[in-house]
Amino acid sequence: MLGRGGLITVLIFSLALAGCEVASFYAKEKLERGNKTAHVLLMTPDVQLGEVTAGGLVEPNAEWTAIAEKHVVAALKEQLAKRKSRLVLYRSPKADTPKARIHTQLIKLHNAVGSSILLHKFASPPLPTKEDKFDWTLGPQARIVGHEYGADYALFVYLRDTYTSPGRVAVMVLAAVLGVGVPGGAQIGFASLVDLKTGDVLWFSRLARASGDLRTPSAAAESVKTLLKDFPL
Amino acid sequence: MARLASLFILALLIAACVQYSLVKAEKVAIGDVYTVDAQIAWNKKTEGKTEIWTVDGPLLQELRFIKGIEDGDALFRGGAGKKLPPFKSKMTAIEIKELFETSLAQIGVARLKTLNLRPESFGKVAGFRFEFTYALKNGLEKQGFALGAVIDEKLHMIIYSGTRLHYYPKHKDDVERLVRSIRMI
Amino acid sequence: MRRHRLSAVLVAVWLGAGACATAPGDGDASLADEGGTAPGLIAPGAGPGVPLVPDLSPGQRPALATDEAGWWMVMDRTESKLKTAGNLVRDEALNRYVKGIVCRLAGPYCPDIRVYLLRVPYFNASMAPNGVMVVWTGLLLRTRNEAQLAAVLGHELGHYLRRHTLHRWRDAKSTTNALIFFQIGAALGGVPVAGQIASLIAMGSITAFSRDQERESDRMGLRLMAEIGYDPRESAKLWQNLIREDEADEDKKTRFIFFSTHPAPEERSETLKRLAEDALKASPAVETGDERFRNIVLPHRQEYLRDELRLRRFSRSEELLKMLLEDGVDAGELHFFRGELYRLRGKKADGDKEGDTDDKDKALAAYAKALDAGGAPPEIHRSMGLIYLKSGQSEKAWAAFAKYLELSPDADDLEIIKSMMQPMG
Repeated sequence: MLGRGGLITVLIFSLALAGCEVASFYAKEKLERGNKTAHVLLMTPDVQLGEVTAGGLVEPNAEWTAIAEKHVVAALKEQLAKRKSRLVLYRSPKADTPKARIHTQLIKLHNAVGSSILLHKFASPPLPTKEDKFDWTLGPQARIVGHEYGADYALFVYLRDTYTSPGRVAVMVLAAVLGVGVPGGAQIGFASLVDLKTGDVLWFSRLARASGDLRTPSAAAESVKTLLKDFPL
Repeated sequence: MARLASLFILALLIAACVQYSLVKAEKVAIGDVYTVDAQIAWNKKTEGKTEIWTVDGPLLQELRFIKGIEDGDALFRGGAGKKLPPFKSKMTAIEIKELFETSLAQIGVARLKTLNLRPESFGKVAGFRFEFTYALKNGLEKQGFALGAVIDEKLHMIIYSGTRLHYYPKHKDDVERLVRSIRMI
Repeated sequence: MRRHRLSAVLVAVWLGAGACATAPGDGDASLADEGGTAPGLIAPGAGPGVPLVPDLSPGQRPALATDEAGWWMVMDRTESKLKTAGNLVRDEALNRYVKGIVCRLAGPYCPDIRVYLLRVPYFNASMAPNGVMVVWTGLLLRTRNEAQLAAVLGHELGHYLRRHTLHRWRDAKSTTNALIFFQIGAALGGVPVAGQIASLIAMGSITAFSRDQERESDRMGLRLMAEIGYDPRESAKLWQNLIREDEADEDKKTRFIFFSTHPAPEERSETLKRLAEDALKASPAVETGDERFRNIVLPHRQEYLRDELRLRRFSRSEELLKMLLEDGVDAGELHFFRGELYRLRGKKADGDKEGDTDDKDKALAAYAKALDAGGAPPEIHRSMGLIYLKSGQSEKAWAAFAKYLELSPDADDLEIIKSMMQPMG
């Protein structure tokens, strides 16, 4: 509950060293699909917003999170519409059926695949057999989800956003005067696009920066647009 | 992706220390005891007396060669400062399977089941084999098999495992061919 | 530059190591209420003698814009992961049973509490602010009747009813706010890491409830159990049994998590005893619920004992088995696991101890008692066979293996057992 602020600090710090706020990998730069409208299934987005207290803890904020979720979905819809694609919303299965279990396993597998991509693609050094390849997949059973929703692709979105509290701002100002750097809020995000016919991860993007906001429609739209830079649809 | 952020940080740290090397699809010596035909290209890292090979990353699938651990050694490396129970050179296959179950339980896997423990040759040596399934605490289901033999009082094992969905089946046949290609040096 | 990067790494390592022990919010399915307690973080509570009243009303939800709602949101998410956790116990009867006790204890708050059983072989339970209660199976192995189980469940409900997480969070916030100036000072002095670590220690401490909160929960739990007729004296008995197990531990490193974060066990046991006497004066509650507990929980004991032995904490498991034998229920099963314990430990006799025997002989003696009492699983014969085999008694070994295969013809290790019965060509 407490680590986030510190983690984000380190993350931002390490990325600042790398000098990039958004980076992505993809199997194909642009996906071929003729004139057909692509149906993109948005898996339940994992969004959480909070405030950095003066002492540097992150206090989760339910109200901001609820607002941000709405803005993010709206912004994704708009971005996809520009790419002749339609957003379909995923609903977690309620009952504990065999089919629901496959859904759950696929989502958990995506978690492990995403972690592997972060480990072996973003964090150097890469696996020697994958140096010039991006071929992670969830396997053909992803078709089960695609079939149920009549969707071509699945989009996974993860966003964490923290904001500097007035108390923290005061601390930052004082520290700066004294010549010490104290971090404030930060925005990090991951997104991935999965082909629901093959299970292949087509694109994976990572966003990390000390700016950005998800609490207003226009700022949220900017954040989503930045996260979707190099989106292959 | 709930824990991706913290994982990413840890990944940065871990990855900074772990450098994988390439194993080509050719005949490879495992320690100085036997060779195998690798079948496909793998990425390899070494942890003490164990080699860990993977194609897509160890979170997804791994092929583990335990290269002759001795009386008193643990089967796996435990978490932070944790010492897992030791192998004893007089153990039978039943007790080695029991040690495997105990080690995994202490590492913290759930719903572990081992199946069909049977005699099977390890190269030309009399050994044993069993299959297994388990789930991680987060619920991701894994599957695998283990082949082992005690040679000169040292335990040699080859353990292949991966996610039940896709990554275990993906290279299962390659690994079956690999274990059939064991030749004692 | 170099030093900065190093400090970042240190911080991350620290946080990474702490992540698994953090109770609310990090998504860890273990959800233990564990960790240390820092001095000076005292929750607002009532002193002894002051009646404890719930801090929230039935069905109460925090307003969306509050800090409390933030933690509810985080825990709601953790809960949704809990539903598909690998070690979630799905047995319906057992879940219904534990939930039923919680419901009776919680009264009008019953609909606000969800109970999740996790297959973890340690004694622990935890309570999240949104009403998620987690109970580990190592606890079910150690409570000896329904009243003792109710004592722990009532204690956890106390944390919920008194909103301990929220109070703890607010304390932590003000502590770290004060500490930030120390951090800046330390950074000015050229030791940025020291400042960071000081605040991290403060942060680590808020992942557990404070000792005063634990005392409050003890009182609350005791009252709840006595009110619905459970014998409140069982609460102190439970703690005494845990102390006994702890004291038997040769390797003192494995003390109960509960003990490290809660008031000193001896003090607690004494207080509970005294409170129980008071409660008994008010209402003569004497129910222990032995029968129901035996019918529903004990059928799972073999699984939990297997988990227990896998921890290889032989001295404390030995004491636990001894205590369970004092109840005398399913003695055959318990003697079998005593045998397993000695077989796995495999220690030679202690020459300084008069009459001490090798573990293999202790094992065989325990197996004999188990067979006598009945109710041991068929593996008992396999275990005996393994011991005979090692001591060179092949014929006895084969007879034992044959018995094992006769009793469990579909055994999973049939092939290897057969191969061991016709050895050396």
